[in-house]
This record gives sequence, C-alpha cells and structure tokens, in this order.
Amino acid sequence: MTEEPETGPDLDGVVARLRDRVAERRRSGTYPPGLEEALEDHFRRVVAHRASPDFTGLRARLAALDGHSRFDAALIHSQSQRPGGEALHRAVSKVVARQTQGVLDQVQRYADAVREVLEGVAAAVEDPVHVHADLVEQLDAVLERLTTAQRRATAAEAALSELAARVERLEASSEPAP
Amino acid sequence: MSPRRFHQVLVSASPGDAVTNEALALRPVLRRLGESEIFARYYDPSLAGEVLPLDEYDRRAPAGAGGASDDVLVLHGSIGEPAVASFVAGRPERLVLRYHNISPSGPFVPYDPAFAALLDQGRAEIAALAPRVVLALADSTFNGTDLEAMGYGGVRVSPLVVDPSALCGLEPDPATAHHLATTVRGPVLLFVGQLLPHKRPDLLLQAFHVLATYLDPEAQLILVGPARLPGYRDAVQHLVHELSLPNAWITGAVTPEALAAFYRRADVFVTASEHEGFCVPVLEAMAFEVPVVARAAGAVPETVADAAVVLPVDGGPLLLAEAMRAAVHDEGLRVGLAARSRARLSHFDPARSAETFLGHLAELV
Repeated sequence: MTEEPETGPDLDGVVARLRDRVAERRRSGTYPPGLEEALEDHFRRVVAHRASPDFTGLRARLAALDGHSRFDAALIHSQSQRPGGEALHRAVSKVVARQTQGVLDQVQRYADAVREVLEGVAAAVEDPVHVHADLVEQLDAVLERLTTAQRRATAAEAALSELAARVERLEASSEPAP
Repeated sequence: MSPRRFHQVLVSASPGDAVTNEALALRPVLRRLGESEIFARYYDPSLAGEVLPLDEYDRRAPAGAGGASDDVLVLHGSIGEPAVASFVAGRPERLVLRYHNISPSGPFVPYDPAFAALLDQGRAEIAALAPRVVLALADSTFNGTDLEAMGYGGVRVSPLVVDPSALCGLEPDPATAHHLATTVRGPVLLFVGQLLPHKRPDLLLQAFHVLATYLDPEAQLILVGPARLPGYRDAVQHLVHELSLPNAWITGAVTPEALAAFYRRADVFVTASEHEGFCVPVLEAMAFEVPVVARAAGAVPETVADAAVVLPVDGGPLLLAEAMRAAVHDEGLRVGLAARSRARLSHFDPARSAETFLGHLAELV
C-alpha cells in the first residue's frame, strides 16, 4: 500500500484495497458470516430499553389545561335571546352570588390540587432515572450470557472445522503414494 | 462621535468550544472596525468578563453615533434558543449570520426528544431570520448549501477562524501523559468529540471490536469528549461492556492540557461521524501529525481534502476496522498523510481566516 513520497498516497486506491481486504477476509472466513448484522443487533438491543419516550405531547396538554384552570363568576355570561332575559340573569346571579362563589372556590381548590398532582406525575415519568433498573439489569445480564454462549458455540464450531481439516490432512498424508 | 458597534451573539459559550473560540478570535479583529463585545444567553462561569450576559445587551452596549441601525450584530447560529431568536428579531442592527450548522434532530429523538425539538426549533429560527439577514457567512461549503436549503441567498463561505495548532503549544497534562505512557500499551486510536448519536461512537466501537478481535488484539480505542445525553452515554458504555472491549476507554470531558496528552499519544485519529458542519478535531489531529480516518459525511471531505483516509458513508465496521489497521501499520501511508496534513493545515491560518471574515463584513460598512 506504500506509495511514492512525491505524490503521496493514492487514497482512492487505498480505499479500494481496503474493500478488497474486507472481501477477502469474508471469503476466507476470518470474518464470520453475519458479523456486521450481529454487531448492529447488539447495539439495537442495548439502546432499545434506554430510549426516552417523547413527553412533549403531555406537556402541551398540561399547558392547555392551565388555560382552563381559572374559575370566575365574571366568566358566566348573562346574555339572553328573550326580552328582559339578560336583566333577569344578572339579577339571579346577584341573588346567588355567594353560593356561586362558594362553588367556584371549591372547584378552584380541586383544580389546583389536580394540577399539582398531574405536574408531579409528569415530572416523575419524565425523570431519566424513572426506569425499572432491576429489570434493565436482569435483561442486560441475560443478554451478556447469551452473547457468551453464542461466542462459545462459534468457537466450538471453528474448533470442529479445524479438527475435521486436520483429520482430512492426516488421511491425505497417510495414503500410500501411487 | 461614538464608534459603530460590531457585537457578537451566541446562544451558549463554553471553554474549548469551536464557536466560542471563533467568537473570541474575531473580537479583536472586529474591534478594528468599532466596538465589539461577545454576548451569550448561557455561558460557563469561567468566561465571565470575556462573555457578557445577553440580557445586559442594552445596558452594556449603548447605541453608536448613527443609531443602532448603523451597527452590525453578528449572530453565531449553532442551536435553537427562543430567547435569542426573539432578541435578534427585535433588534434594529443589521444582522450578519455566522452559520456553523445545526445537527439534524433525527438521531437525538430516541434519547432526548426535548433536545431534538430544540434542534428543529433552531433550524426554524434560522430559516425565519432569512429576510432580516443582510449577510450570511457559512464556515464550510456544506453549511452554505444547508443555508441555501433554508431559503438564504447570496451565502458566502468564510473559513472557520480556528487555530488547529493551538493545542500543540500546551504542556500536556502530566498525570494523563504518565498514565498513557505507563498503562496504555499498543497502538492508540483516538476519537475527540461530543459523545452524541450523530457522531456514531457506536459504529466506532463496532469497528474497534472487529479490529481487536480479528486484526490487532493490542489496539486501544480512546473516546474523548463530553456526553450531553445520559441515556446515550449509558448505551455506549453498555456496548463497550457487552462487546467485551477492555481496551476501549471513554474519558468524558477533559482539559485542553489532557487533550494535548491524548493527541500526543495517539497513533491514529478516527471518526465515524455521519454529520459534521466543519469538524475541528480532524485538523487538531493533523497538527499533531496523527493520521486521520473518517467517513465522507457532511463537511468532513472538504475539511480534510486529500490529507486523510476518507471512507464512504455506507462503509460499515469491517471497512472502518481495516482502515484503522492500515493507518496504524502502513508506514508509507502514515508518512504520506503527515506530509499532506502539513500542507492542508496551511489553509486554516487563523489570521488569514479572520481577515477573510473581516473583508466580508467591511462591505457593509
């Protein structure tokens, strides 16, 4: 791969030769079949249970909830299609103003409490440490054992192939010359 | 008569960050035209004084003689931030966009949807600024094309003001250098950059697994740089464990002195990144005469030119492993790349890049 110092390395040629080497090692079995896929599968498995879910929708809904969380008697409309109806509604609202405000206060307190609970729940599920660490660790341990077992199987297969090849060579060398 | 103002605005500023370094390098040059300060929405406390808080812009930088509309605001675009976008949108100064690229959000979605949304928002903010921008300066052709795709016209390419050799002048951190000299055996493959999904450290580790298992059992891989996403860092760390790679070392963020020690010890610099707006570390590696292996992603090919082994982006871990091995053991290749690296670095003289930047800006004055 060494090139003339005057011109420097032919980098396209270098890359082409690297590709050839990969192909050659695949053919010769240096690189076991499916090696790249296995490596990619490893990483996919590793990230699968570490990805964070998207909570932006939840936050948007909480923000929308905020927009409806203020209760006020002034927001109760008193318009009416009937003649004198609006005056009647205003009169009734004055009569029951104390009761209306009492109900609104109770609803407001309830809404504030619910909002607080929802904030707490959202924060808890968004927390990056909110993972089932015990399950993740168990899963990791199982995957590691599986990987080790796969490697042993591959090694055993290679050893068997090597033994078979040696037997064949022995047989060939022990055959009497014609 | 008060001088004109040429202030720079960043979303965030931190030591060692390429965008911050450029802003710091440009400040004395801009001061030749008029007043110039650096403002940032967020900044590392160690930069207090060098960088001013953005919310003090009006107090710290009163308008020049011709009024604010006669001044120039240089916005460094590299990530989204609503506060900065609304600040810029409301300013009367003529706006210059210095574009460093905003990473695509896709690779970040599984690990940090909020950060991914910030990236998308950043691109939307940059696109929305197009009618306001009087001069768009990209630091690579790749970034210029990206800006054009967002609706910008007349984009100029002005090289990043960077001194890739700056680390060479530092005294390497003694503890790191000692550890590397006494404990780390075998050829060292070094990656420098943030541990983020689009940098593909996972692919590097896969390639390193191939290298260490089938080609060079003594090889070492060192990944240097901060990890912003805990979920992704955990996944990468677990991959190291699962692939049984005791010779792979993820250091996290390091000081410039420690980084200098890593570069000095490195035999090869390697990156599998699939998106780069410029990629300063490849130039730093060249400054240390460390051969570079990279993939032809983003601005990498134009940054390294013919001074690195650049693999096709569809090249998988096997090809990357072969390239690592060649870059470690092929002396002819190493010598050839070192010679070309020296030539390539001459294109990134910080003084000349700053003058080029100033030349573009002078057209507005």
